[in-house]
Amino acid sequence: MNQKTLQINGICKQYGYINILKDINIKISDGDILILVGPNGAGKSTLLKILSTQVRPTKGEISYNNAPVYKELNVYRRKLSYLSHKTFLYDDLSAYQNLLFFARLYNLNDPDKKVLELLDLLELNSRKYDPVKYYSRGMQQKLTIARVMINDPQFIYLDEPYTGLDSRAEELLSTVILKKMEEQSIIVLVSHDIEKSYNIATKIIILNKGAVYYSGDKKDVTLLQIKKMHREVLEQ
Amino acid sequence: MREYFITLMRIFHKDLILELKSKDIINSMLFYALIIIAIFSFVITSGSKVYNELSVGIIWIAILFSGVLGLNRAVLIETANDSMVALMLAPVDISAIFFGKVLSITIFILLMEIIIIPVFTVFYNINIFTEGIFPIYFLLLGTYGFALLGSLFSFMTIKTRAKELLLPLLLLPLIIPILLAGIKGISLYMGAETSDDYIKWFKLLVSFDIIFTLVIYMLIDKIFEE
Repeated sequence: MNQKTLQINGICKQYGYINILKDINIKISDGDILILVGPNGAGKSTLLKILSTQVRPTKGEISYNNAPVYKELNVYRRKLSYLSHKTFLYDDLSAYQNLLFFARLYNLNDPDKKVLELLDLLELNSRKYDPVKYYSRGMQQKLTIARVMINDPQFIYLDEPYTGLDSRAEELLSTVILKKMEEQSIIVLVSHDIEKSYNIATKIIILNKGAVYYSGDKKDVTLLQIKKMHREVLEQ
Repeated sequence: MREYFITLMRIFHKDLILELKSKDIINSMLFYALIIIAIFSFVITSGSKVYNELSVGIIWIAILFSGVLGLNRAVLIETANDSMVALMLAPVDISAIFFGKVLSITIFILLMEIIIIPVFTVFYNINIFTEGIFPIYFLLLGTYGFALLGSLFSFMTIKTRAKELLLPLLLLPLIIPILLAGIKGISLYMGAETSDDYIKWFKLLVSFDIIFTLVIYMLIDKIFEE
C-alpha cells in the first residue's frame, strides 16, 4: 500500500521576540502514533495547535501527500480532530445534542446513526439525554473522546488526553487510539506520562526549548533511554 | 451558498436550544431593560417639547445597554469550554458561524423588545406605532447593526482581562449612528409633520448595516485567525 506522509517542514513560531518553535522538521506516516514529550514551555502544545490549524506558523509549511494543508484548509479540517484540556462541549446541551450538533457541522451522511454508535462505544447511552453539566469529569472526558471521533478523523491531535480519566476511560481511549492506528490515521499525542504513551507510540520526539532534542522510531529506543533523555532536558 | 446558510442556521438552532433551556440571555437583558425604563419614567415628565424624543431615546438606551449584557453572555457560551475552538476547526465558512451568532443575538434582542415596548407604552403613555408600523423597521435594522458590531467586539475582547469594561468602551462609540438614527427616525415619524425627514435616518441605518455586513464578511477570517 502506498503510504502517505504528513510533513512538517521548517516550522518556526514567534510571539513577539520569543521563539516558541525553531525549525521543526518531522515526517509522520499513515498509521503512526507520534508522542511529543518535553518539559513545560518546550513548545509541544504550540506545535499541536499549528498542526491542528489553530495557529499559523511564522515560517515553514505543513503538507500531506505533498499538498500544503493551508491551500485546501477545509479539506484538511474535515479530516482532523483536536482534543485539549477543555471539553469543547456545551454544558446545557445533552450528550446526544452536543454530538449531533458537531456531526451536522461536519455534514455527515447519517449523523444520528454515528452519534448513537459513539455513545454506545463510550458507554454513555444510558445518560445520553442528560445535560452535560450533570456529568462527572470522567463522563465529560468520555464524551469529549466521542466528539473527537465524530468525523472519523484521519489526523488526530491529542493534548494530554489521559489527564483526569479513570482507568476505564483510559482503557477506552487507548482502544480508540489503537483502532484509529489500524485504520491508518495519523495520531500525535502530547503527554507527560512517558510510560503510558510509550506503550502505544510508534515514533517519539523530545522537544526542548522549541527545538527537537531527540527524534526516532520506538523500535530504536527503549523506555529507559527515553526517560533518561527526558530527565536530561528537565535538568537543563 | 446553500451550505453556508445551512451552517448559519445550525448555529442559530443550537443557540436557540441553549437559550430555551437556560433563558440566561433573554432574562438578564429583559430585567436590565425594564429597570432602565421604569427608573427613567419617574424622572421624565410629559408635556415638554422633546418628550417624544427623550422617551424614544430611553427605549434605545434600554435596548443597547441591556444588549451589551446579552452579548457578553452569548459569547461566554462559546468560550466557557472553548467550544469556539471546535467551531473554528470545523470545515465550514467562519463567517457563517459568525453570522449565525449575529442572527441568534438579533433574535434574542428582538424578543426582548417585544416585551419591553408594551411596558414602555404603559409607563410613558406613548405609542411609537400611532402613525403606523414603520418604527418596526428602525428597530429591526438598529438591532441587527448593534448585534453585528457587538458580536464582533465581544469575540475580540472575550479573552481579555477587562472584557466587561472593554466591550462597551469599544462598541458604544461606534454605534452612535444607530442610536441617532433610531431616536431621530422614530420620533420624527411619530411627529409626522415633516413627513419625509425620517427617511434620511432610515437610509443611514440601511447604509450602516450594509457597509458593516460587507466589511465584516470580507475581514472575518483574518479577524478570527489566531
